[in-house]
Amino acid sequence: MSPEVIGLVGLVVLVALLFAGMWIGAAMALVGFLGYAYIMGIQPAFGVVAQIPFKTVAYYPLTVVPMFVLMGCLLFYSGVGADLYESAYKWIGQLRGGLAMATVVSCAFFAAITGISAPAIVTMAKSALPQMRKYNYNDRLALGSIVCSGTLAFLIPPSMSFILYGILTEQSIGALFMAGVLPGILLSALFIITIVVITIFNPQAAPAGPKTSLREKIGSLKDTWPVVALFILILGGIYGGIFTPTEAGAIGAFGAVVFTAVKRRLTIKKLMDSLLETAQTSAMIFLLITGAYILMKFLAVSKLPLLLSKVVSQLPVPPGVILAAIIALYILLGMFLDIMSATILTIPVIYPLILILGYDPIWFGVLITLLIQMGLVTPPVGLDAFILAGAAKVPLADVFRGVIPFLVAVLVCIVIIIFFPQIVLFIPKTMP
Amino acid sequence: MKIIYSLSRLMGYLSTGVLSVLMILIVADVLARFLFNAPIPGAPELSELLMVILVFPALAWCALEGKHVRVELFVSRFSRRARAVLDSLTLLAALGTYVVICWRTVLESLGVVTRTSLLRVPHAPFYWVMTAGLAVFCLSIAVLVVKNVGEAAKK
Repeated sequence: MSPEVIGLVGLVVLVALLFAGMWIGAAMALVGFLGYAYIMGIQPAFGVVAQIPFKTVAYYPLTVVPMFVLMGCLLFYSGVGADLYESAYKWIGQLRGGLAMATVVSCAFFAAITGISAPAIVTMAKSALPQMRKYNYNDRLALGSIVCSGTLAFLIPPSMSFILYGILTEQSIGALFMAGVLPGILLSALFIITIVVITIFNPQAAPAGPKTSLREKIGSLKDTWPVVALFILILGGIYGGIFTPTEAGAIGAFGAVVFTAVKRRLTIKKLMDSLLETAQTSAMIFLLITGAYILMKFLAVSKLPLLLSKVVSQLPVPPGVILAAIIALYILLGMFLDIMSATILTIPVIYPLILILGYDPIWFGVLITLLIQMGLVTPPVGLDAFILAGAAKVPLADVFRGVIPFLVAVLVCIVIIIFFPQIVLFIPKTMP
Repeated sequence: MKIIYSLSRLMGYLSTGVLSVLMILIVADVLARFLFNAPIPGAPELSELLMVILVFPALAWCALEGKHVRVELFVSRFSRRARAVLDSLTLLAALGTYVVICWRTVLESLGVVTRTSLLRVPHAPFYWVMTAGLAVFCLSIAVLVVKNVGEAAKK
């Protein structure tokens, strides 16, 4: 058997193991090890598994992973998300659909200080959802707006998906962060337009909220200063070169501790819970990453990604068609797999192809992130939809129905950045 | 069984402690560099070593709490017993994988004589933290295998 065929067989076995319910990290490590041993011999394969765990974990850029998770957990307990919603709802709540728009806006700001979506979704389930229910919002619209806005955390920097993509593809995480800014604003606007369109067709879906005075509006801003401060601290620090994106995680986590303490919301229990949750999540992510690195070694010696890139790029179709096929593939993966793991799994194969097709790697990072956002909310497997259904104690099916109009918005955003890549690349190009 | 649960929780707490130290170290490094133009010597290499104590000891605990990601889409449709059988098999495969990895890292750790480049901290103790973490991780997978086999044997 040629190495390429072994690579293909390995991937088929991998998919079978995944569907059998094996831990994804373990399945990648197993297939990677066996495949490498088959092609290169057992001794070199032993060498790979002896070295990769330490080398992968003891790698400075990856300190960012636990730090960003910690920052997200701390900010969840700090209650700034609820404060943000409170303020956004006083400003635009009186519009028709305003409470849902306030969800989008507050999630967008929350996204500017967190890199993961769960804190925003759980916060909104506890603050925005009761408000929308009080004003007789259609439950599906309410749920859809919450879960889809929550995923903005991945597009608007700082963002965990950019970090993972940057590490796997050796692209600048700072540039990826900056690339996410304008698409993040664009997608937030598209979500708001979606809500406007829904209320035009069905005014009953989202009645106007309470009127508030200008005084109340301005007064509500005073609780949102930690967000502004953290945002300026993190992005300003990265953009200005004061610290690296790697260090930004620790700075953000520390800032979150300070702000929570200043607001007198920090208890030992909350701090412990955040630390415990972060330690577990980090272990989970690193089992995935080490597995992916072992698998990547195998794929590299199988030369399968190379062959695939060559074959696909020589197809008598324009690159746009191949790109469309890749997008379709990720939408499918996002439906049936945990999309984060699926991305870690597929990047080693897809990324070389993207480079051969001549697409910008930073731009593709943004595209992948938009697809991750979709994958997190599409049935039957949508992690963020699960989180919302759990936090709000609503049927999962209601959440999945609610996201449909917002998925259209994400697709529109994807089409826009395909035709106007400068939206993505404009800011990174101005970086010092 | 109980011992492994307690041990894994204990190691989880260890990694929790290291997490706070890591955060403080990086923040102090950035501040010292920004304010006094004097970064903490060797902060990045210390961070790398701390990562080892953060990640590996937490693996077992994460496993026993059921936090490692997997695809549940198809498995969740099976009967309780079929699921237990399948889980036993995939966990056994995972056990085999990590026993090999643990065994090889033990051999690797025996030969480690390197030190970090700036502070000259020996790498060896951290390699042993890794192997210890992986060993307890293997034990925790074994516990899960036993649990699932028991579940599968039950009527």
